[in-house]
Amino acid sequence: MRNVLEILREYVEDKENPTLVVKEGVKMSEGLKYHIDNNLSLTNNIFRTYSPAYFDLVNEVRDLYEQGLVQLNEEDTLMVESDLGKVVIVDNQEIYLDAPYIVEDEEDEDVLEEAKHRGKNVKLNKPFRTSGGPKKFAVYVKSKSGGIKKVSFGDPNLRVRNNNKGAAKSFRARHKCDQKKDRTTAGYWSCNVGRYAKQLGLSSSNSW
Amino acid sequence: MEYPFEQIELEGKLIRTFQNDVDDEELKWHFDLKDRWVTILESNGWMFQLDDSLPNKLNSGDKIFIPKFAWHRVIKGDGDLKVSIEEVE
Repeated sequence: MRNVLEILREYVEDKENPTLVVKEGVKMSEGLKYHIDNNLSLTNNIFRTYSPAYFDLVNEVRDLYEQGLVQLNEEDTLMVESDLGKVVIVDNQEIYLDAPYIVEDEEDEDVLEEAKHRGKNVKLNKPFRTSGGPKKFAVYVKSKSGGIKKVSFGDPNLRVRNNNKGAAKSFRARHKCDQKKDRTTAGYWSCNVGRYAKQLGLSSSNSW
Repeated sequence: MEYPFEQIELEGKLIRTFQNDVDDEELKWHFDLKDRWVTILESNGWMFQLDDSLPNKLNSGDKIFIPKFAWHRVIKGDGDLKVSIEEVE
């Protein structure tokens, strides 16, 4: 749970660095209006991460930003200056750019237990590259209930750009990496890939 | 798996209570495998959000239909949130 100090710090930062300050008379969506009315930044997008509404809001703010119609704080600026939410067509399929998957692969613990019975030993908290899996990396962790859980993370179609300062800062802000403390989630491991650069074959050990 | 609520079963319905000290981070986006009717029994500033929609305030007596596989979440308010859930076959 967040403590009072964190809430106060956020409040002061918000006051000093206002964001989503739209020029008068600009037409906007209900989603953007909601964020402004509730003093929410783009980084704290109320919509489900990477849902259509999430991307629509990012793209709407980017359009306004490029026209000089909105003032943003540093984190939101990094977000709209990235490629997040932009779409390219690959093999007749729409692909959103700069959107690494944060998907938890909550594998059935029984399956893993069974795998152990078959003699498969797994090392806990040692992320590794997957071969042919739906995600780029995976790690076995002890779940809160005491079983073993496999967490998969990272988009195999995207490069890990933790060596790019701007991209790294944008990623950390977007995924609220400072709040990702739970080792049983994909978010934690995505935010901390730099620590495991060597074993994951990454060129940079920078934190995001 | 641990859930951010307490639950009892009563006359075929799930009575679920979210305490006011639940961690926001635990109220995750998710979907269910069956259609559900949810009746709000107690709420103080809690909100409900369906995917691609804005959050709506929950009031006692509200009845919400949640289609299966529809992403949704609740957003914490003050006090507890108590709901009755009826799954539709």
